[in-house]
Formats: sequence, structure tokens, C-alpha cells
Amino acid sequence: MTVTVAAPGGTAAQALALEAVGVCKRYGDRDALSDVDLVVRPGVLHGLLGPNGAGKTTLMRVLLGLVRRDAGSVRLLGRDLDAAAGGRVPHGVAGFVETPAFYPYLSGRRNLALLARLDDGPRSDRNGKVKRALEQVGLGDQADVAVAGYSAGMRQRLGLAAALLRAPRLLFLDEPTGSLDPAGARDIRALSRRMADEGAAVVLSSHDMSEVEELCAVITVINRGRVICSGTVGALRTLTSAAVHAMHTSDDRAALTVASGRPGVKVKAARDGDGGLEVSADVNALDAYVIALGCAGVAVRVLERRARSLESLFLELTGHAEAIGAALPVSRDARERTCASAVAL
Amino acid sequence: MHEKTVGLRAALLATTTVAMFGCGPSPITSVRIEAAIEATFANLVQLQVSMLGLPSPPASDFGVTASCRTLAGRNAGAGDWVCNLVWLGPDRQHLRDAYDLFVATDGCYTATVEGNSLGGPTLKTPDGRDVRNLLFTFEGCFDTSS
Amino acid sequence: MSVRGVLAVVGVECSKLSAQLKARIVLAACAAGPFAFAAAMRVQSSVPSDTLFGRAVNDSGFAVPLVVLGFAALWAFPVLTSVVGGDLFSSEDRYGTWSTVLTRSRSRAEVFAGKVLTALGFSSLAVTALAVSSVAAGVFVVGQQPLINLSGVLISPATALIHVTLAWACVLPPAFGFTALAVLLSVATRSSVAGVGLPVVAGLTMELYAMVDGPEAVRRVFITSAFGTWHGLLTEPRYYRPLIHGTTVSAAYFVVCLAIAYRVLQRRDIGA
Repeated sequence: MTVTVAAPGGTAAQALALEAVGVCKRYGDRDALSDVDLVVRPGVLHGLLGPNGAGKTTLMRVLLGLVRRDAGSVRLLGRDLDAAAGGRVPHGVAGFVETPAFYPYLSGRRNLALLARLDDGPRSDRNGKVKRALEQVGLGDQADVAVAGYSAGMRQRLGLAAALLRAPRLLFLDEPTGSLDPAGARDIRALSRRMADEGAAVVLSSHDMSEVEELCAVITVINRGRVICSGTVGALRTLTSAAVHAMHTSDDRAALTVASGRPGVKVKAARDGDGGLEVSADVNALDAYVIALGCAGVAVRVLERRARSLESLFLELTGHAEAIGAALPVSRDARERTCASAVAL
Repeated sequence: MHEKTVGLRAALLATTTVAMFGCGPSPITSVRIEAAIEATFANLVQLQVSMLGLPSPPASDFGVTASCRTLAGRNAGAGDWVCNLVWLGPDRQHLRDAYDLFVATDGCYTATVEGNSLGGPTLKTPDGRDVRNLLFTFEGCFDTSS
Repeated sequence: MSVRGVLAVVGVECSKLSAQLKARIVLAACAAGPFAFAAAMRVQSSVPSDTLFGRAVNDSGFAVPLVVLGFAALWAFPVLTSVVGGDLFSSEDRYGTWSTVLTRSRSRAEVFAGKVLTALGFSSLAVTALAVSSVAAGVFVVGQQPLINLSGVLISPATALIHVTLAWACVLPPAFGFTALAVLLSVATRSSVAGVGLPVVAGLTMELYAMVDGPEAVRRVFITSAFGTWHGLLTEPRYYRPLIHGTTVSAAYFVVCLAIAYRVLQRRDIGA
């Protein structure tokens, strides 16, 4: 089974907002990024997932021109990004990496006004644009306080406002809700979704699986500088081949013995503290197993279907990263990652 | 890494330029000092005389000749020098004055007269005013690359 | 790289400078310092006898700017030129704002050029402020008397003013060279302490060396020698060779330092 990148919002014929192919970056003897591909279509919220140190932030820096890539090509909104980090960020591309920094001796409004001056674009109504951006991120009443007095959450909002000033059609957000309270995080998520609905491509990196699952249409999983998996959320969820059920019985050990003789049924002790068992089986095999348990004198007290969350898939994928790296052929032609084989390992 | 090679190349260029200029003898020579102090002294004598309200001939009329040596007796090098000036006074008398000089490496010097043959630091004009004695201590500069 | 882009960066840098106290303090010191000096000379009985024209400060107001020029070469010029130039680049490192600035529409070349122009503009402004205020201090506190030049010739007030102005103009090339040095140190060390402090230390070291009778060749490549090239304008006959040489050395410092600094910035990985 191959997972292809399918965008809900656009057709394949629509111009890609971001097309990064074969991006490599090496620091000394360490490969920060190896052969990373990333394709993002307009109107799509694309999640970038990976544990700490996976290379998400490095990848974003490369895509924004802050770090020179050693190999690969990057096209932002149809324009090549010069390999030598020194070209300007194209019009319509915006974003921030890690906690955005500003001049602490100036107010938020002043900071944005200065950044607006560094942008190409109509010079009229700069103040109006700054005001609207501040209001969009909810910083309207703290705009005239010096940034030195801002909390990390306020700085994140200001960073988003700075990106919005550029009216972006391709937006890079590096953990944009990390320092925000739940209400603030909800606002930023709503804003990101609104931007995608209006046609912008949004690349969002996050640790928070539930946030990514809820927000993003397409996810790319990165670990140790390599792309492990990439696809729509729906497609990734179908990787859970068999449904998982939680089961409590009167005699767990006997239930395990009964299951060991049945080929279509996988039973193991539940990992969480609840106790009980986890049963992986399709409908017919499950029915037969329950009947067999009854015949063996084991009573079934609880049988509940549990959806396998992406989080467990993610942990499993990134935990198997080294095995994957060895098993998959790393060739330029293999543009699509075979996630199913990764799961099977 | 690349910055280091660029920096090294620049340093190499700088040192070769220095070598091209040569590590020759000091440009502070007795010839240059004598030429400078002769002209400056003559101009100052003329100026001083006119400031005292007396008629003054042009500076060249004073026929100043200088002969300078370092304290150690050499004829080159920055530091302390002694210059003996021979010149014709307003009454056409032969005058001889010795000056102690300090010559800096950039070709600028300060000269102070030995003794009080030319008066003290201040002089009195005929109408009783005190004026600075321009010949007591004076300074000047000369081209070290001429 | 576009002119409009560079000018936009200059505008932003000037806005930031005007919001900081240090630029104003430095310019205020340049404006007030010479007046304080001239007043002090008036009050006390001794005159600065170790600087050219020091003995003449009470005789002609035009000696004051030349004495300030002599003092400034040792202390003021390295400080004036590096206080902004040595901080413009390393302040972005201090605040972590490189990624903020470089994710707008300006290329690194434009940002570099804009910051360098701002630094050079500030250096010119500081030198000009010091020049104008020292002439004004001399004229108002002492007077517009004729000046005795370095060949013992008395020059008229009008000629003295012209020569004093030209003498201060001679100091601009080494001031720019020092600014370029401060920029290089700021970019290379990413530290404002080094960017501002090292040029001052370098200047002092070079001046101290000049006081010792070492090899002439070494002195000729020191940029501080260029601070004294104005002497040849106040002699008769005038000589210009030190001025030409000093300007050439300053230009070399300027080109080399900025070329290296530009290279370092272009190749840098931000945040890595």
C-alpha cells in the first residue's frame, strides 16, 4: 500500500505553494536533514510532525532562506529559492521559527511598523495594516507596551501578526501555540484554519498530536532528518489495519490461551493501567473468538472498540525510525514513502 | 572555514604591502628638520617684530641657517634634537641661538629656546601690553615623505 | 539589490537608533564637549602644551578646533565611529532578531548595505558635530583672531576657517575606515562589546606605537596615522603626500573590512 499526498482543497493541476525536493543539510558529521521532500498545495493546512531534534525547525529555516541547504531544490510559490542563503524571501511567503524575537525597547506596534517598512508592497496605509494584524492576533490593547514586557505567548502572537502583515499565500508556523493558554491557542488555530480556507498554504509544525490531527489535512512525519511518512490524515488513519478493542474478562490468562490458537486474532495485555486486554481482530474473527471464550468458560465483561489514535501510530513510526532507514531504499525516484511497510516492521 | 582563508589572504596582502614599503631608515632626518625650522623661525621672527610694533623686513632677509643633531649625535630618528640657529638680527648683527626640539614620528616638532637670549615666555610691547613670545616655544610640521 | 530596498533598511536603522539613548548621548557630547573645553581654557591659566596649537588657544579661536582635532585622534574618533558601527550587526545577535529581519522582503546584501550606510552616516554626523561645535566654541569663547600656522605664518580669519574646515574633512576617510573595522568586528564576533571595544583598543595601540620610534613601514599601514594628515594643510608650502597616503590606507581598510564582513554575513546560517 502506498500513501500518496492528496489535497482536499486543490487539484493536482493547481500550482504548488511549496515544492521542496531532496533537501539535505549537514552540520559537521551530523546529517540534520537528508533527502527531505515536502509538497504543499494552496488552501491546505500541512502539519509537520516529529520529536525534538527531528529537523522540523531546521527544515523551516532552510525553506525560509535562513540556512543554506547543501543539496536539493526549493520552490516557493513557483519561484526558486536561491541555494545561497542570501536571497530575499519571496513576496507572499511569511513565517517565523521558534519564539519570534523583536526589539525589546520598542512597542509591539513600532516593531511591526518597522518590519512593514522592510517589506515590498504598497506603502500606503501601513499603520492601518499594522493595526489590523494586531487585532487579528488579539494584541490590540497591548500594542503600545514595550516588547520587553511581553510574555512568551504575546511574542508568539506578535510573530504571527508580523507574518500576517505580508498577506501570505504560504505561511510557515513553528509551534505557534506552544506558549499560549488554551483560549489563545484556540484563537490561533482558528486563524490558521481561516487562512487555509482563504487559499493560503499553511505549514505548521507541532508536538501536539491532537492539535495536528484536528487542524491539518495533510501530515508529514519527520524523524532524525528524514521523512518517515507523509499523507492525508484520513489515509494515515487507515493504516490501522485492524480495529483495536478493549476487553475485560473473568479470566485474562485463559483468554490469552484461547487466542493463541486463533490466527486472525491478536491479543495482548492492555498497556494502560486499566488492566484488561487489547484485542486486534476484524469483525468475523472477533465474533468467533468471543463465542470460543464462552465455550471455554471465560465470561466477557467489557468489549469496547477503541480507535487507534495517530499518536500511537506516530510514536511507533518514530520509534522504528532506524529500522526504517535501513529497510527503505533511499533513491531519488522513490518520492512516496511506503508507510505501510514502516508500520509492519 | 571560508572566512578564515579570506582573512588569511587579506593579512598576507597587508604584510606584502608593508614589505614593499620597506623597513628603511627613519624619515626624520636632519635635512628635513633644518629646512623646516629655518623657514618657520624666519617667519616667526618677522611676525614677532611686527607684533612688537617695529618695522620688519621680509623673512628671507634674516638668513636663518640651522644645524641640527639628535642628543646622541646622530642625524636621523625621532625624539630629542638640538638645533643651532645662526641668523642676522634686525641690526644686521650675527645671532646664534640653540633650541631643544622634540620631534615626533609624524614629522611634527616642538622647539624651546635654551637660555633667555630671546626673552622669556612673554614680551612687553612698547605700549605696555604682554604678548606671548613666539620665539620662546614654537611648533611646526614637515613632510616625512618628501 | 535595489536602492529603494537599501534606503528602506537605512530608514529602519535610523528609527531604531533614534529610539536608543546612546546615539543621542554621543551626539550631545560632540556638541557640548568643545564648549566645555574652550571655557575651561579660558578659566585656567595653563594651556595644553602637548598638542599642536595648544599654546595658541587663548590667542585665536581657530586654534580650538585644531586642538580638539588633535585630542580626538587619540580617544574620540575610534569611540565615535564604533559606538554605532560596532553595534548595528551584533545587536541583532543580542536580541535574536536576525531571523525576524531576514524573513521580510530585503536580501542580506540590502540589509548589509543599509546598516553600513547608517554606520557611516552616524560617523559623519558625529565628526561634523564635533567640528562645527569646536569652531563655534573657539569663535564664541575666544574670538576670530588671525591664526599662526605651522610654518609661523599669520593667516587671516577667513583663511583660517577654510583651513580648519579642510583639516576636519581630512579626518573623514580614516573615520570611515574605523567604522568599517568596527562593522567587521561586529559581524565576525557577534558581540557588541568586541565591536565597540576592540576598535578603541586597536586605535590606542596604534597611537601608542606611533609614539615609539619603530619601523616606519609598520606605522604607514596604521590607519591612525591618517588622523594627522591635516598637518600638511597648515604649513607653507603645503604638502599633500601624507594625506594621499593616509586616504589610500583608509580606503584599503574600508574595502577589505567590508568585503570580509559581507562575506561572513552572506554565508552565515541563522539560528543554527
